[in-house]
Amino acid sequence: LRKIHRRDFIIKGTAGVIIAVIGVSGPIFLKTKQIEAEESEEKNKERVIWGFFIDSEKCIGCGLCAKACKIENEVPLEPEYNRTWIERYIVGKNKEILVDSPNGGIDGFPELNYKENIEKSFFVPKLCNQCDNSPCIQVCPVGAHYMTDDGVIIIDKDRCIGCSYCIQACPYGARYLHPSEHTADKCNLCYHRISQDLNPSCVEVCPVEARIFGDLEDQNSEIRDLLKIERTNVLKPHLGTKPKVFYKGIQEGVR
Amino acid sequence: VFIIGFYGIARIYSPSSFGDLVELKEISLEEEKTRSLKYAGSSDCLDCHIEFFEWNNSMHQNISCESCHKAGIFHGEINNNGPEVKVEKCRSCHNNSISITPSMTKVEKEFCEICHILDIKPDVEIAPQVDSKNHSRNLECIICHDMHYPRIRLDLPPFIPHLTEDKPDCRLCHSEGGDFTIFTEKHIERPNNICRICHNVSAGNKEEIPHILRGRFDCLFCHDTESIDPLDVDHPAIPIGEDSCLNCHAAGGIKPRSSEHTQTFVRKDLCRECHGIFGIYPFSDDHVERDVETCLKCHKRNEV
Repeated sequence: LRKIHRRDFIIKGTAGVIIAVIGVSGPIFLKTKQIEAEESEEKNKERVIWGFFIDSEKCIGCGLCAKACKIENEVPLEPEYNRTWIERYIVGKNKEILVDSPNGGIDGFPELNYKENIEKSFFVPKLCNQCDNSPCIQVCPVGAHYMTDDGVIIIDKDRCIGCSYCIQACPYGARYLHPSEHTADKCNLCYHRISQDLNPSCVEVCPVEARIFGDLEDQNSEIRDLLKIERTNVLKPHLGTKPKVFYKGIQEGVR
Repeated sequence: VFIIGFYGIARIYSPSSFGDLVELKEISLEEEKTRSLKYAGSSDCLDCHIEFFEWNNSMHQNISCESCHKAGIFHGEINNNGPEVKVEKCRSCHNNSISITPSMTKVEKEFCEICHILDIKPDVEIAPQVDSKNHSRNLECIICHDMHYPRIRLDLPPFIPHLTEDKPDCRLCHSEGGDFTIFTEKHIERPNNICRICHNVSAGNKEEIPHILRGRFDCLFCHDTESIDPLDVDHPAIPIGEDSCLNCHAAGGIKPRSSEHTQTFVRKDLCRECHGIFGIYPFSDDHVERDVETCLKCHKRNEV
């Protein structure tokens, strides 16, 4: 057996390791670069970021939106499963806030029989906020959630294992576990509709135009005009989730 | 050998997309995009139901067809996978006259109240809030209101300036080559028998009745002294009967009430129509000589 000198061993060994590392990582590195280049090309083409504007002052709590959503997206009809729903905020004379949402508001709201104690009441439609900095994508252990190039968060039902981490992570309670598919489910702005230039079903049926959907990047879109004119807020801004659903006419206490 | 063998078997049985996040994302997106639509959108409905083409000029213009009717996929309770429906079966429910729209079904008052019940919302701009006991004496809404055109707007559409009872075919006079106003370009495709759904016959240029008169014959049934818009105390003392109202009043336009004046003011020349020497709240003696154009200089909208 030929005796290998220690110095030769170190030099040849190091060279071998370097060659192996380059050999393995080179193609991956190049591929990543290629994907990045393709993505940036696509972005340069025409960037669309879908956003949602909700005028809480206009909402009359008729529940047509929540019903249409269930039909369009085949959401189970039981009260606990909703992609979008309406909450009624009742502010008492003692500034105490009560919130109710019977069956997600689909059947309307019962008349309040203690009006003398009420300062005011108003409706707030809720849905997935399509956060730019979304907790649900971050916590998913299998990478089943992703954001499309147009800013919509989609659940890949084939990958989702139904662990419910995302349901707990969502600060807006916008998700539920589908009882028969055993996967997480939530509003995706009717992605099948918006990719055909149609409005989401809730926007389509809203009789008072309380829900406006549009491209946040397009300077001439209705939603951009509204955001320029109106003073809006997002839900729970302190969490830094950067929602793309903007509310007009909500006050402190709406969460 | 074991490692190479394992790798080979794994390659054979793994789907091509395994580990490739970009491809997985594309597959999932494609699935999402190709889901079936349930709501068609109003423009699709209007392709066939042509008689509602002016719905988007009515007070209900913002309300999509499918807000009140069922989603498009439930159209006639059949879909693409459903049984073939023969025409005879359609005609058993649908009117034969205009198009394929079913005859009017009863719209319950409760349905209107989803949006219009008093106290839902104080903002009358969005949906007028109605106290049904005082407004309609608990009558069904459809007695007075057409759901598609709850109140025809002032500027649309123009009146027919002549009687039409002996003139069933509008096109005889109003087509190209005729002596009278011809159908405008967007009207050419429309069938002849739907003109009067929107165009009311003007029986004079006095104060106008703010609703269509189709199907309503007895004015005082609603407008007696204690219900909807009762006769004004200053109303000229003329014999009041079923026909006499229409001698002076035409359907489809303004009425002299403060909430309506924002619309009326668009046409300043109309002041004298209602407030002339003999009208309601007539011009006072020192005003008689004044020009109508100057009314708005002193009288603000919300004061009238």
